[in-house]
Amino acid sequence: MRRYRMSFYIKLPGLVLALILLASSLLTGCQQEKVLKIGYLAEQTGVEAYIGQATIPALEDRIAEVNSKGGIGGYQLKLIVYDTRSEVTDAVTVTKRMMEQDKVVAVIGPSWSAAGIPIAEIANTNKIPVVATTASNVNVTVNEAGQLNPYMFRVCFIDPYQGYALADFAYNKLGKRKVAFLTDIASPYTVGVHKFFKDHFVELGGEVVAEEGYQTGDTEFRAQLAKIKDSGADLLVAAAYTYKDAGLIGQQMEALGLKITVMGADGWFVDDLLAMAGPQLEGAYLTTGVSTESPEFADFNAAFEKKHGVKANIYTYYGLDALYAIEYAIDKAIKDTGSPDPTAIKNALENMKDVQLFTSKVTMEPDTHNPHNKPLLIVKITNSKWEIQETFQPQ
Amino acid sequence: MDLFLQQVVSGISIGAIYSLLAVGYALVYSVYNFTNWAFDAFMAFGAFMAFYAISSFFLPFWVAAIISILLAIGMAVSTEKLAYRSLRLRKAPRLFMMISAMGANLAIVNLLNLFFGGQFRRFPVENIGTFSMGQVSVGRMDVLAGIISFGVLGLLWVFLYRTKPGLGIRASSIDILTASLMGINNDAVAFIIFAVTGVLSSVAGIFYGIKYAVYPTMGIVTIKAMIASIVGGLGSLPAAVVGSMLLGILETLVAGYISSTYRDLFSFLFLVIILLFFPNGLMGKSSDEKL
Amino acid sequence: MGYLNAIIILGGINIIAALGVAIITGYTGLFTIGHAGFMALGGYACAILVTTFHVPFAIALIIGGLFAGLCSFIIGVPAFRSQLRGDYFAIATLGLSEAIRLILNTTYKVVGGAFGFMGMSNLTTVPVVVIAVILALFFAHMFVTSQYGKNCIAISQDEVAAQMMGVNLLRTKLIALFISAFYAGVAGGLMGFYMAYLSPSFFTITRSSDLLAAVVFGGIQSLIGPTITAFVLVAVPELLRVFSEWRLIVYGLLFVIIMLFRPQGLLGYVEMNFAFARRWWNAVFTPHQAKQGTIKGDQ
Repeated sequence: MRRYRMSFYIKLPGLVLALILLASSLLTGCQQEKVLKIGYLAEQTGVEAYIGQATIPALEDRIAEVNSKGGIGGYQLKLIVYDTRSEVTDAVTVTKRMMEQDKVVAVIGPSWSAAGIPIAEIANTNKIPVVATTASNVNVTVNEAGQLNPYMFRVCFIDPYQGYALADFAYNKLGKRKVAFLTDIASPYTVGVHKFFKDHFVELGGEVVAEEGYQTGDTEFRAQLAKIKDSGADLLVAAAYTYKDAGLIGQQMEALGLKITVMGADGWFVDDLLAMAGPQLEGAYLTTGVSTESPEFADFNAAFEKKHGVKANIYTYYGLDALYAIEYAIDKAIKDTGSPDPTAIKNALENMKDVQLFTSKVTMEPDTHNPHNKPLLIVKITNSKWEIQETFQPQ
Repeated sequence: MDLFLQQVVSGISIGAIYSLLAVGYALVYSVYNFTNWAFDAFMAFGAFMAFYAISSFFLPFWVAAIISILLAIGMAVSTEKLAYRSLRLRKAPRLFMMISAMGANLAIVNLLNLFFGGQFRRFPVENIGTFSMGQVSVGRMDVLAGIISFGVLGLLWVFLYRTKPGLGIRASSIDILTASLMGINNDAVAFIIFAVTGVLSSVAGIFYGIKYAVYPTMGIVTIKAMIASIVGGLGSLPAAVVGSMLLGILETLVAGYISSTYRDLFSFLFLVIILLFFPNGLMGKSSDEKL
Repeated sequence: MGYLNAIIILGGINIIAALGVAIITGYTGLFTIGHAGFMALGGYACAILVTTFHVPFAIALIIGGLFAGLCSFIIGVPAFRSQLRGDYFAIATLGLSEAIRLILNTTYKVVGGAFGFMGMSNLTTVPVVVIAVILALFFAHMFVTSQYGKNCIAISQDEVAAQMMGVNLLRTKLIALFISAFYAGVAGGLMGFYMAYLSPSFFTITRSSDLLAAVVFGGIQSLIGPTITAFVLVAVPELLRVFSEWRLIVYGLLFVIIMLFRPQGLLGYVEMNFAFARRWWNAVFTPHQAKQGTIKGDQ
């Protein structure tokens, strides 16, 4: 009898708990009707972990903010984050998982092009839009046969553009004539900037005196730098994807006594670089779509660092840009068609015109899915700070 | 000529760092016949501990280095206890120890990533600059790192060849079973070996951190040290140093004179050719005398 | 469905590549950390054949595998001639695989360099992978139970003794390496046509060591063990996604824990055969009298 009672007392709370769980799952089931999920392909681990770690909190904050204001068109947003380990296979699998299991309506996309290319295909099959953050290879949105990937977008500018702008600036504004390259041969991004810089620079009349390479993950560049020193170059282009490379190149240039101007691209634009090698990279130039030094972001940066203990970086901004674009598109889709259907979202993204995103106003080019005429800033590192030199408006 | 000297100097400074790591591999290999793949985690751990001792607790460099070494010893010894000991006692094949090490490595590196974040940090020490010899510039820190690396390796040599525990380790490296029959405490040998591993990895981590940067995946470089210790001749400490110097200088010379893009191709090619002529590594002997 | 399919397909591809590693590491006792290189060779060869020369996919897969197998002789012939073993051989395979990746990264003409090989279609579907896995298992089983397979085991036990028994070391090792690289090459081809894209960054040392881990977990001298673990090692990280950023930490610790509890691997030394099924069938369904006959047959 006693035993029966004991087990009854054990069972009763269990039963109640089970009922509550069941009820709550039913209730959340009802709620889920009004929840829109947005996926984010994050690098939380691996060499590029700093990208995801500085972006996830920003996206979560923004989504909490939108939700506290009542969501979009009555829908609450929910962020689904999966780690890609910076591996393409992982990125592909989790994109499928987001689209098919989690039923996301849009994905904030990969930050590197090697993942962007296969993911474009998945987006097309599932008819769910993906907005890439910093996958800047041309073939991410338009495949090599020249066909548009209808569900793939991006909020960054493309490699040719950066390479072109840098070459123009180096030749015309800085008066450089002899360029040396130090290129991560395994990174399509770096190789892309190298190629387009070289094409335009040679076209302008400049000369390439050294082309040195290294592989992703390398930390030792002195052999290459010593050769560049010997080549008599007056400009070094090192468009590293990971800012670590830029910092180490700066430090090792100093160690070798190599004092020429260095140029990089937007992969450099992470504030931690200044802490790592600010004095060594004094006077270096780089491109970026937006500057963290711009006064309008000062409040955001300070609040972000205080709240999360990490500095906001360029990837944070691009991630937010992608999220803002998706928010706009969801809103537009609901207004136009009455439902946040992924295809409607895609159409809205495609026809974006002068929409204020986190960093700037963006117009999407419907035939390339690249942001139209996104201004490109050329930034100089001065006193371990970013200093905007010039805004480059493409024609 | 200046360029050549400059490249050789760079090569030696890289080789010195490889040496510390390669000797760690060789030491573990000499007794346990397995490649300790958790080594890169120890290295990153050591670097992180020193980094935070300086940047968060404002300790002087030497104190931070000692704390880091002690913590790395703790980490290495506890990894041995948790991940290898029971395998070792059961005489599991060495491949299993390697996989266990791989798991430990994955876990530790990702713990560092989770707790400290994936940013690249500059090691907070004063930059002591460079000095020039003719046209060749030499980093003072490189010289210091070289001196300390070889100092540590010298101490290790003294320990192995001039002390009683060292004798025990050498005996174990020849035949661990017989050594234990002769009254050598196997667990004590394991403790000492992994403690030494901790010291080496921590020192290497700190210098690597100063020279380059501190980040969770910084241990990737240990693959180079592993290659160096294998090419030198597995299980032999002098061979590990020779292999490391060879690899360091080879890499810079290939990058400087053949092609930096194909550096790894040519240096691997060269190493494989060495292996074809010396299938037990450059200085590898039969198992009679491994240390 | 696609997500589940993705796991099945990637798991299947991992199985095929792991079977290759099982033949060289599990059976022949030569440990390799360079099979990603053979995957890359097979993958790119297959991709070029299908997209440029319009060879049917199945044939291209086989040719890709053969190409990877032939390339394995680049390292196999010199290494086995000079008796490279253990870690020395492992480093040689690593060197080859890194060299392959480097060359692919810098060759822009045909293979697209660091930008990767584009313009492929998605041909790897679940039925294709399932058929490939079954065929791969079947042939691997045939191989390891054949005289060559037994020679391989003999080599892994004691090379000198094997040689004294008349086993041709060079030839046996080369055959094992060829088949092993063939499997990796086919897996690479399947991978490329699943992703519809190939990039040298797919084939890093991480992939090689994952394959080695699958074989060691599965058990030495076993095919069914690595088959199971190769699949599980693809599926488990996906299941562990609930741990979010703790995922790889848990995954790493699982490695350690499994090794501590089953240091012989999951199914070490368990040959893949159907004897257990037959025994079970006999025990349940065969009348008592008939049993004797079957047992005799077994002997």
